[in-house]
Amino acid sequence: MTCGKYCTVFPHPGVFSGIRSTPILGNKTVINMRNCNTDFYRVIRLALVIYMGFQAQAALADDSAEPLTYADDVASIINENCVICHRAGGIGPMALTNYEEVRPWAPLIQLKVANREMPPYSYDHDIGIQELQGDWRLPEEDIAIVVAWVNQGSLPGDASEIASTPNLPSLDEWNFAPQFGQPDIVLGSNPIDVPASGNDLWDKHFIASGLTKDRCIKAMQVKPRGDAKTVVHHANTYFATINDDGIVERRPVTEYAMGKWGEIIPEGVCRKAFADIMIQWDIHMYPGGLGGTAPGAVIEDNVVELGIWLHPEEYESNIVQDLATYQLDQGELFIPPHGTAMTQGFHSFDHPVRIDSFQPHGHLRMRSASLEIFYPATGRTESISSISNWSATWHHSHLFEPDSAPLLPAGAVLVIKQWYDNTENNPNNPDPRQWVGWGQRTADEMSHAWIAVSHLDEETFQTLLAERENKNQEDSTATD
Amino acid sequence: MGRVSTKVIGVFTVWLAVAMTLSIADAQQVERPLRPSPSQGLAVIPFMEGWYDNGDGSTTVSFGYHNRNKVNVVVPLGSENRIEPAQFDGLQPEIFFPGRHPGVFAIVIPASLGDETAWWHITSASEELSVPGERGSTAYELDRNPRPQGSVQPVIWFSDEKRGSGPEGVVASATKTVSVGAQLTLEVWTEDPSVRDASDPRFAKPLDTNVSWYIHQGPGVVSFTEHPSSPFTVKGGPPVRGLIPVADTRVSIPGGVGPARVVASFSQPGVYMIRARLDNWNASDSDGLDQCCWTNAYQRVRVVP
Repeated sequence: MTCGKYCTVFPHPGVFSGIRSTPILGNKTVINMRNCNTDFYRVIRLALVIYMGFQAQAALADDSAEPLTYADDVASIINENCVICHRAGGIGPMALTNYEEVRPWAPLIQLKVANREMPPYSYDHDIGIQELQGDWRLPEEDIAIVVAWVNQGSLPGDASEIASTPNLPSLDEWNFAPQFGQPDIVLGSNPIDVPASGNDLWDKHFIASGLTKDRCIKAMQVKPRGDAKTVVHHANTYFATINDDGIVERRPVTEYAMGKWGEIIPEGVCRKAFADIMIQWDIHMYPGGLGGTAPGAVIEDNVVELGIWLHPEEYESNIVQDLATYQLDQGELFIPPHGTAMTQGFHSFDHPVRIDSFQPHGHLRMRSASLEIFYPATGRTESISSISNWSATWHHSHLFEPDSAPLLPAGAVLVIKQWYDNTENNPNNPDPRQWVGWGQRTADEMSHAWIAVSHLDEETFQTLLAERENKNQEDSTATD
Repeated sequence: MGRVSTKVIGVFTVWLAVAMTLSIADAQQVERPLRPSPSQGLAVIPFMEGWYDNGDGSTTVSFGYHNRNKVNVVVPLGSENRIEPAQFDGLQPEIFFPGRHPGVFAIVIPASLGDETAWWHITSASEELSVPGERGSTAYELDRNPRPQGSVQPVIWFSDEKRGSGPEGVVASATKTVSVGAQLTLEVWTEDPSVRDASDPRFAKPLDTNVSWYIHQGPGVVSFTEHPSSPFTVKGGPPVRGLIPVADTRVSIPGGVGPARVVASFSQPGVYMIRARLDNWNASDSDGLDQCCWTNAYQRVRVVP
């Protein structure tokens, strides 16, 4: 058995403690239809999946049908998708590497899988672009198998039939090592002790990049070491200069927020790493941490590492890609006690672009986000991404497959929306009695999205459009 | 009774299901449709900034507010601006300036009251909004430890009086007296004990700190003019992070050590309270919305005819 598609994709996840409820009755404002529909939709999905499991079970009532077993049906799913985190020393709160470890947790596994809380990659099906790099979501059929297996009593089967656990990378391995090898550059932050409790901390210091020549970046990953994974809320890096007055000017290298896999820059563009310039770390730490595995203790010598994979020196492209924040500043970010809120942001470019990735950002009250494109020339709105069960412990940057990444003409408008839940229904809510406004603290909220954009000229845009159209026609012909 | 058609039952069932999924939030708010906010007529929002474990069983709770209007809102102390239990009442502001103003006052819940919750209630624009303050969620826990680049709460004091730091700061022991329209010089002394890495170009020289003067309580208008020794540094500058307005009365303290003075005059008789906020927000690890670092000082003034 080969290691499944998720073998390369595991950063540093945290795990919720407790079970998220999905009430039908909720405490919601009338204007916030989105959350109502999302929770209702989620309940319907859960019911459908469980129904599928019962259907599968009903089919097995036929004497000729074999019951599902861990050995034959479930081990491969868990081994390929779960044990990367759920193993000794892993960030999962329990190991799930064999039947004895899995069996006691079977009902919880069923619930988490059916609710699509595990694997922890929230991205709605059937809305917008589904071709994603590093997509951890389980196929519906795998979910149905797990659900049915638990309903049938979580039978073990013949242990000799279980394929060996895939060759897992070491716990500290870089996510992109299987694809690209070790990073060309590894830059560590200065060590800092993170206390067990207290106010959030922001550490902004400078290190040398070591680059002597401008280069194009292939991929990047930021990796907090050890227990720091659960207390590092974000760790951004910037190319920075300081003038004689101590004023810092900077532009992003990459962004990291808890749970992020990393960034892969598509072929054909250049995200530049600048020579002879400092790197500024901007690390936000949350003492005590988030998630069920947070240590709640002092973390000494906390270090965060930035790994950069570079294209060969001779690689060049005149298409510039950058990563920037896009603010959602339409709609007040004031979330009342026991209430909800929504924000929107609109952004457009005066030249054609390709949207390479979408990563919404918020804190403990944020619950959903979406990206649409509005085309003024036609009045059409196109859904690109929808995340209706967003989590503050999993800041995924949704990397579109290059052949599916949206190509936008000049003037097309990014429409970004985010929803916030300050009610008791939000399992991450530290105190629903508080008013919540904008702020950098984990207890406050933010409203923006990190989006990687390749900036095109009209000729390149038309060429990419034509290539995509040709490929679509070829694919269509091949399936006929 | 006639037979109810299946279709009617089905429609009713669907309606019931939909109605069960929709409910008005039990929130402290009137409905707020998604439309541009007016420049006035909006309720002031109180914020509980966070709480400090004082190490002796007592808890300091810091409060601030956001006035979404473009004009000042005045809510005198009383039934429409109160803290409950009443023992904590009295230090909250009466004048709410536009924008976000974090940590404008603090209360101390003594150890004897344990997990007591203090509520700040503000009624404005016909709407009462409230927030609780207590030793509660760790997400709101604050501390007085140095920030990563060394910033700590700066120290402030009135001449010959005890020093204080943090949002609870100090309250002058004596009340000053002045006549209506007469000029009164107010003075605080300051020091920033933050220890920073001088090899970092940002900290090659000791950073300046800032003192901003505000009318905190009082029945009339207070006019601030700059004292020759403490010129106002910025007039109408951009807000901090777009939210915390820079006060016109802000003065700079060179090197983070020294006095700050302002000249105040009062429009009508009564008892006023002036707040001086000392901050070291010039440092990269210090910011108003990061809850560190600044210190308040309060001076009562009795204005006579």
